[in-house]
Amino acid sequence: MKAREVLGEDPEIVLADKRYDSISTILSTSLVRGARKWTLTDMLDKVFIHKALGIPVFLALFWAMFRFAFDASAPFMEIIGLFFGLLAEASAGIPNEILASFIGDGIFGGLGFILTFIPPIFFLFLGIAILEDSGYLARAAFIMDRIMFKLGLHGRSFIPMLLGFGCNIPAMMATRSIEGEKDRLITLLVNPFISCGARLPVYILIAGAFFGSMATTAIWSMYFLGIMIAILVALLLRKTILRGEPAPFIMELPMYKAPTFHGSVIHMWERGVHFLKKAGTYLLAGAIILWFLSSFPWGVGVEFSYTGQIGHALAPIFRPLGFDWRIVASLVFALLAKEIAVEALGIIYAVEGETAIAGALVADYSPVVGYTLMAFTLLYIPCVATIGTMKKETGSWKWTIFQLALTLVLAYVVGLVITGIGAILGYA
Amino acid sequence: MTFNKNVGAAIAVYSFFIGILYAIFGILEILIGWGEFVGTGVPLIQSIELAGVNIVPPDVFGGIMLIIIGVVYLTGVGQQARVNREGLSFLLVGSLLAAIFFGVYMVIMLANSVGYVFQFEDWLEWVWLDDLRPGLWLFLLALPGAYLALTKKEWRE
Amino acid sequence: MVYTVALIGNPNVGKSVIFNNLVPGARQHVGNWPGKTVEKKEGKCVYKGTELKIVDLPGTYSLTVRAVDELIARNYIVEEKPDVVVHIVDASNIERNLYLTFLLLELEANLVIALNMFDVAKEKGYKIDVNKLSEQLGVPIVPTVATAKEGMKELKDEIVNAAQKKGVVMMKPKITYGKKIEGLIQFIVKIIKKDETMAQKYPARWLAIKLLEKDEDILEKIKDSIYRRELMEVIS
Repeated sequence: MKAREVLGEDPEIVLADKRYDSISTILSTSLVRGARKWTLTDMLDKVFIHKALGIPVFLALFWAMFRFAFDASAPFMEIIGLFFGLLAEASAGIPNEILASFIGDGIFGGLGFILTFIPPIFFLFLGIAILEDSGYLARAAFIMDRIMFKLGLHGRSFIPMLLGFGCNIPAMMATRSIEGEKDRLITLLVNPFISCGARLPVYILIAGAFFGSMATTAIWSMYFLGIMIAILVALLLRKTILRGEPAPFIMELPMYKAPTFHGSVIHMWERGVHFLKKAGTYLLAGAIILWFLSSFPWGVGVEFSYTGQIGHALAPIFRPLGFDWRIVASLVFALLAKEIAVEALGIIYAVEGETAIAGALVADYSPVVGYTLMAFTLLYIPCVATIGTMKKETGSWKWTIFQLALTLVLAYVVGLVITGIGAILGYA
Repeated sequence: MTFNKNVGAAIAVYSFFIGILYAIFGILEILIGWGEFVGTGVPLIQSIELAGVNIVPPDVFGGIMLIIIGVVYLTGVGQQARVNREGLSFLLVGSLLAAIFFGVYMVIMLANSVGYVFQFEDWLEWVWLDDLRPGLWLFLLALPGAYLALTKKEWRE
Repeated sequence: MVYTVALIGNPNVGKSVIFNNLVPGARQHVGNWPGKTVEKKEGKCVYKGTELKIVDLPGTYSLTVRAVDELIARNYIVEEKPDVVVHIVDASNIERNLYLTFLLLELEANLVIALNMFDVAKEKGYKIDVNKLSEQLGVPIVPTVATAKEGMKELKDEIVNAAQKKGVVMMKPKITYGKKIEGLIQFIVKIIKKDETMAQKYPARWLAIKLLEKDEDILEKIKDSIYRRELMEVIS
């Protein structure tokens, strides 16, 4: 007996057909459909997926979400900062000098500063959770898919890209829902270009120092730059190394549902805690290593400490960008966690507090260097925790190293471009 | 209340009114915020005050969002006047957006008050009136529409 | 008595809600499926004196080899042979969901169906004759509204019931696919039954169907059987 001969066609097709036939037969006797009602979902979708209004409404909702995440969290960031500041002060009283410094500056100072960025990240995840639970996020992905398809990205890349604004780690983990291997790889490779929450303190410091009233615009430009670069690199990868069409985007649009506060908080919590666990260990380790490398050899001053030595050694490479050993040293530390760059600059200049650091920066560098530094921070090698996640998600060192090279080279090139433009426009 | 010619007309007028208001104040926020946005510090319109209180902040992007909300309301006017129930979708979503923005601005105001209570540096001179803006008080006018769109289930069947 | 209960269903049918209803948060354990990056959720609950170990399988539309999630779900059912498989069906999207039910019936899983989102189906104007449906499929069905925790007690009753009945009653499949295909299936089943290891490891009818579909994972698994040539002759 041969299957093909008996059936006359591919058994797989016949089986699928028979299953569907059976389903229809069964449902014909046990399901009565009733008149199709015009539901709340239909009403909402009329506007949310509207040809003209769909995208503006999408922009409005996401703008509102970002405003919520960054503005409503501001006082809470201060509260955390205050708390750790008090702890740092208290530990100054410890008799052993090295121990006091370790606990005060190393642990409480470093860790505390880093933890102040939990509120915006959590608030952002809460916003995303609410949009997700209500069912709107599926529509957003659907709308974005039309655009993303043209850019060589898959519609399902949208949510991971969005999460990247909070933290790249849960964002990269979210790529698991993307089916095509190439689609997923491209999304993973470009995700670090999306400006995560950790880079914000660096932008705020630099922009605040150099750009005065234009500071907010300068910071927004970083987000914009990140998105542009992500899109361009994705397109480039599509045309060269990872050629092919994105897999078709078939997705069910669930019915709209009022999100429950309880449910959304749980979703926020899951993503947030995951991020904390993953990133937290690196952050703490980073803070301690930073403290160690800049405090030792003991008593010698930052410039001659290990930190200073590293900075001086690498400085020549970055001279074209206008970076000196101090900036280079802080960038090396930012590899552990990008927020650390601010902390590092403080230690290197031996000053405390943002205003003091800002003052020191303005004294030593031009606004062009400042802007170059912001762009460099945005684009260069992602933090160690992200690198670890990349390795875990791709399972390959080849792609992880490729990403390291890609980000570093791109950051350098963009830095040169900015410095070049600055020179042409007449700034030193 | 059935969705008939009179009701449709009333809702159309209401949507038009609310839509135009959101759009106008959106434009005003852009004009007032323009100077700050382009770095010249010179706004295209000085400021709008009511009894000495500033009620429209400088905010280019915020203004754009208000215009978007206004456009959603306005898009439904035609269908509502023609008693086409699909026009009600625009009233519904417009109200939803207005409510969301109201909520966000409210939460920000509350957060700012937390900063004030703790007497943090950035909030020493903050007064709640500083946060007053169209996104907040225009919603009060949009409430009736929101109420109707949500509760009148019979209009959907 | 500990029974293993697997939860399966399409994405967005309320599977997580049901899992949370059955297993209180504190007793949930999240890990990874061995060797994979897909999350594995499991937990325990006690009902009327029996302990139920509940495993949440990844949400899938089908059980092919093409996606990691689907393979994980399928392998779990075939290899771990859970006492009960609860298929969570979205009542408001019932046609699409029933495809998976059929695949599960082919797998000879000890099935209980939770007909979830029953309220949404009603709102859509659907009228479902649950008894008739249950009779035609040969599977107990419990209507549920997981978000309102409705039907949970009845579901647990059916789960315990099914677990106790497992393997006791060998039922002939209620769903058949027409004379031609069934003839082929029986022919292949006869060959399979000659290979004792294969027959013991996998449900024969399911294996036959997978072979007809030229399922890559199954083709790999029968590689070492002495009856391989005979089987390949039929299906190629």
